[in-house]
Amino acid sequence: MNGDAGALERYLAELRGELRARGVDDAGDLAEEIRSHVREAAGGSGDEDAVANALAAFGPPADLAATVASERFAGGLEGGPRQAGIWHRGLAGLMDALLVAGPPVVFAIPAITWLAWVARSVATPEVGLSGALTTPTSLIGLSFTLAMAIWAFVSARGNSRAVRAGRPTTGMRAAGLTVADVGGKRLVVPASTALAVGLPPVRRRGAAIAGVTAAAVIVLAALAWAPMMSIISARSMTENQAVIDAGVGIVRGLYDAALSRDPDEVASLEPVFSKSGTTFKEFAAGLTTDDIRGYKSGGTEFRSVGATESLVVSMQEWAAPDSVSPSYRHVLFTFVRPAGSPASDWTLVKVVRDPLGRPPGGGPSAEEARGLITELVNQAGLSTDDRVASGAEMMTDSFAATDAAKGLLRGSTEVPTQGRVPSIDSIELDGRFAMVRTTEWWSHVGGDLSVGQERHYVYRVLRSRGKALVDGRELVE
Amino acid sequence: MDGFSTWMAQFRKGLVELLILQLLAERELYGYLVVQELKDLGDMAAGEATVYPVLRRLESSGYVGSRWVHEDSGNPRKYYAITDEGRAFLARALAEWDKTESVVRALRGRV
Repeated sequence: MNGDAGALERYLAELRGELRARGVDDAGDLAEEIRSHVREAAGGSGDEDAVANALAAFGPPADLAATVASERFAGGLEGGPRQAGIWHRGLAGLMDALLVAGPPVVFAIPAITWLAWVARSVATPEVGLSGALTTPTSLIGLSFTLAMAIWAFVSARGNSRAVRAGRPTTGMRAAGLTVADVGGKRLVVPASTALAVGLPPVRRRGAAIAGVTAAAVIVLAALAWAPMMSIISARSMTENQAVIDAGVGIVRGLYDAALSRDPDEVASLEPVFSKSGTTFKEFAAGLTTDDIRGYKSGGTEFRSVGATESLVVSMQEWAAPDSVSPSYRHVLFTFVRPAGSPASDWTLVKVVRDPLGRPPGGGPSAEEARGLITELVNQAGLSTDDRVASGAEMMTDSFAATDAAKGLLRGSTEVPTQGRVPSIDSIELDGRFAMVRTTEWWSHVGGDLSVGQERHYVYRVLRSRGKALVDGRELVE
Repeated sequence: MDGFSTWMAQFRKGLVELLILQLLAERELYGYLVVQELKDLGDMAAGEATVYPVLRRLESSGYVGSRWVHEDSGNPRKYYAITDEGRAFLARALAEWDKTESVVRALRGRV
């Protein structure tokens, strides 16, 4: 008797739990009704078999609770689960798309890579690798696009069928959706409401595998893309580097010859300048006049447009090595050549020295900087002995002055910023005054090249509550 | 579940509601008796696992009302009675049933 009563109570307890898990709020009422039913069915005897048979007629508690839960919304009652949002359903569609379209992508990328590899050996300078690849890759792309279109049609139809049949697709499961019968309609609802509509909890194992597969497809595609592009562009990059190096080599040769001050070199290099609008003699004279001490490559910009290639070589001419900081000016050499011609076949068409219209200001020398600071200190009625005592404090002041100067520069209307990016390169601190060297950069078209102009500023730094403030400045250029 | 079983499940789903409402239109009944009455009707009858959920939905829909009665036997019973709304629904459902039945009979008579 006790054992039978225990079976009934266990059943009812489990039923109450299942009902509550499905959001049925009056689980106790139904449980009591079933208790009454079982007692009556067992004839009040509490016979073990009679109770067991009566309970068996109700089925497992989980199934009964599911039926009760689903019946709640069978009439389309208010409060039933709503269709998942369009973005949520869209995500499921995307997952399905990845699962189906992913494998073709994984195969297409190696196929194009292989084609690129083969095309490398047949590509000619006239056509180039991209030209050799155009037809086969276009065919692959066309086939792939057609396949995707067909797939999208089939997939959409398959999804509709799945929903009508009450089966969530893999993408839906992966996105946490399921299909429920609500008020006689099949709706795609969040899986979290599955219990509430009497459906078993969504098994996400398959969905998890699908999600991992989709992610793997994306990662594989991303990983394959880089080497593929590398192979495709490998030949042109090598070729490009050769022609760039050739152009830079020509310019270096010009500088070496000009700085050697050897008059014999002038005659031999004049032909290089024949189409540039200037002469080697004028070019070399500029170095002498401005006391240029050295040169350095400042970057290149290589372009291939149709049958013509162009190369701009930026060089830095260094001067005034005894200044507080080194100073230089830019020179731009522009070359052109027919595409596919030998690497060194460059024609110099333009030489622009100091495109910013300023000679290489040497900036104040260390001696001059000290004099300027002293002058400013005297003007302010201060003493040059009024210095920060310890090295640590000096360092603190240096950083603070730099930060303050940066803020002042960036917010100042006096510093030309149109097309320029002022930046702080260094700071010289002298007690309560700071020498700040800035470089204002002009970005060249395309952004690959830039040229800069140095400016030197002196800042008077006031100490206030341990912080340095910049309250004024003088341009020293 | 084959096609016929699916069809039967759908067919019985609405039918059970109709039968329960018809039984309750005759007299007030509690769940156990509803199950027994339906079982007495034969194979079309629905079991406990179907009747109780449907009773709850009919109650939620306002077609039946209920009250707990504590009998002398000590076993409380929940009695269900059809409401006016339930009677109106039943009348419409039976009319639809009659119409459907006549259509089916007419079609079968042509064979």
